Amino acid sequence: MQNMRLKFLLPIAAFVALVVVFYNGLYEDPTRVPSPFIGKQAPAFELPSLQNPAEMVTEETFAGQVSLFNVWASWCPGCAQEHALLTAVAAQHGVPVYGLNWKDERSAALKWLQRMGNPYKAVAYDRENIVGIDWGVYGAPETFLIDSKGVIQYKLIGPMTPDIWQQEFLPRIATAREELANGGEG
Amino acid sequence: MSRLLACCLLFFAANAWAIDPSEKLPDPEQQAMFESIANEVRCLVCQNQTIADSTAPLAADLRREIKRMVVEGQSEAEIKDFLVERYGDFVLYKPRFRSWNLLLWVAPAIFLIIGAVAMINIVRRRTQLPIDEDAP
Amino acid sequence: MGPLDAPVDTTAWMFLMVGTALIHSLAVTEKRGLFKSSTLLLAIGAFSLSLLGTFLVRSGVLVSVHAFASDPSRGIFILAFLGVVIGSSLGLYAWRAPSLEASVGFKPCSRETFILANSILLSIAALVILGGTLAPLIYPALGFGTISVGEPYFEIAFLIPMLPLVLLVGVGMHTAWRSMEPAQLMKQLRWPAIIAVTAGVILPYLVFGSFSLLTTLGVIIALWTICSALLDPARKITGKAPRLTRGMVAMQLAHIGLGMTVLGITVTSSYSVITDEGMKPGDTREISGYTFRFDGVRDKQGPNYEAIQGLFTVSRGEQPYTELRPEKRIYRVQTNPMSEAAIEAGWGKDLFVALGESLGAGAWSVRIQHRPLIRFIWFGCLVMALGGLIGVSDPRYRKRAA
Repeated sequence: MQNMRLKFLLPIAAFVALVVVFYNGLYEDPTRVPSPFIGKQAPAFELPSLQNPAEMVTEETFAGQVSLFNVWASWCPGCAQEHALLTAVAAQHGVPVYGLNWKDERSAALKWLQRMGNPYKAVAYDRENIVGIDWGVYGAPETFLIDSKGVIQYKLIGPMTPDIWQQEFLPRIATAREELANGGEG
Repeated sequence: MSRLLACCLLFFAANAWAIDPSEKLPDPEQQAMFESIANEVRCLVCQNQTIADSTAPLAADLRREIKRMVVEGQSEAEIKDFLVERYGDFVLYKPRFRSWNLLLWVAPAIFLIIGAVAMINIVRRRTQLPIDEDAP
Repeated sequence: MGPLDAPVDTTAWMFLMVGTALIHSLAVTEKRGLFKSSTLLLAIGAFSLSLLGTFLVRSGVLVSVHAFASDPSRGIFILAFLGVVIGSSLGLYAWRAPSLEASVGFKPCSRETFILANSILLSIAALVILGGTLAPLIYPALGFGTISVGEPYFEIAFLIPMLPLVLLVGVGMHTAWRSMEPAQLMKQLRWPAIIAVTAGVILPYLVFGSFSLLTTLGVIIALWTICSALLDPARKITGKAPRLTRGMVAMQLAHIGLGMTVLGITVTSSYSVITDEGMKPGDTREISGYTFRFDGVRDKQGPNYEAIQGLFTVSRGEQPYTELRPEKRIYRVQTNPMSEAAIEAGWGKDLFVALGESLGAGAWSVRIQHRPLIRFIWFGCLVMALGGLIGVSDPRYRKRAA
């Protein structure tokens, strides 16, 4: 008899479990594609610099420091939106910012930097979206946090906001810098 | 979210498909492999479309890369691996036969077995009961 | 046909499965007082699925172009509503359903058994579709990473319970209530089976010239359903009749409709030709025995749009067949061009031509489609609906004057 009762409770038990899953799901954005690179080595690349085509920018450029790699373009409204904040927080905390100019025209990109200000220590020019695809970039802006060993610690999809900087970037930057101080190069 | 919406509104407005026939690969076998892969890859901007159907620039870039790999002679599995390495399992429309994905593929068969067992039990029990009591 | 948009299309689909199971299970409950708790659960399930559909599509938990903005408060409201309505129904079910058990029985070869199989298989189909729809939500929640489930999965996963089901429909229709001699059943079904298998193997090969196992299976099963449904009407015509009640006619029509839809789906998915071509004026392409000649474009003014209209002359062999004029329209209220396809519709097939992009020098990218039996899909549904209407009009459902 107990056995019989049990099967009638199954539907409502399953439903309750489902409601829990749905409730959690409401606070996630399903269109965000999480990066498979978190915790992995940043992909190697070699691109000409935006400002000086003769110079090459590679993954070696970030080596030995905790840095941000910001994907941007002159046609991207979100990039303009985050630009001031990105410049300010990077300067405030002494975090070097490198840029990946994504699917853009060189002249338009240079003009944009002139107008908005240039926070980047170097900008790689990825007109054809070769490196973008290698890094799993699917839109702009995106920002990667890379530690001193070249491992990607975090990827932000969308514009930087003060909350995200506080909650996601600062703690990880602190941890990465501690490691750098303790472990030295490596 | 608004990126997704804007892109898909554009799709419904333009209602054009994306593979330009003038871009076809000269080798028909390679073209067939390319089309078959493109129809199974999700466009990450317009996430309810394949890159074969999507007019998004990223879809065009991914089609270009896939064509390059097809011409280089890479296998379908290698090309899919390439994409999944960079964008995760989400990028493929058909979940692959890998650990937890297996559960999804095996589920119909499991349900059938459970259903069959339930069926046998119920019929067995009913067979033993008297055919008629009073009419309902 | 466009890509499957998971929450929207799949919820309607699931609802259809459970609703169908419900109406068949109701027949048993009405006739014999059996399956009361399953019928109840199916009824709760059907309504729950329609509510669930609203939630899944609009709340934004799943990727859909129809989702409202990303703020979760709308979703929370719908979820709360869901929780109250479905939770209380299922709670009531858990509490009271155990006392609904009837104590009559039936033999293995009986209509009750077939309707039981029907409920089980349809529920499996609905569960499988539900699993596929919710996987992108559940997998990350359990820590298995993201997963993507689209058409390729649903098509295959759905067929697994459905093919056996449609096969059983043809048998169950002729099974008596309570008990029947299997040998007698087999004897009745002999002719429909022979006709279906023979026609199913020969016809696709004759008409389309190619043979594939899955296609043949689908065609045989579709024809089997139709032939089985026509068995009693055929016997009536040849005089060996049982009396055909309105209820029986309704059932036969509904199942004929099912067979037609399955036939349409099988044939069109196996034998459709969809191709993208670059064509200059004067170019021809031969698709499935029809020759399409591109005769160039011209400008056209519509009531609220301006258009570029292409002209395609279609012939079958030497005989001219039809002209198709697809357009690219720019409606004056917007700037994006809309492609207006030209479709020649018929019972046996649809021909479809649409203009893509101009390739320069008078050449255009063009999509041409040949879709055999595609109208059968919709027509089959109409026939099913007609069967339903006739069933509803059965006088036994009218309230008896006191």
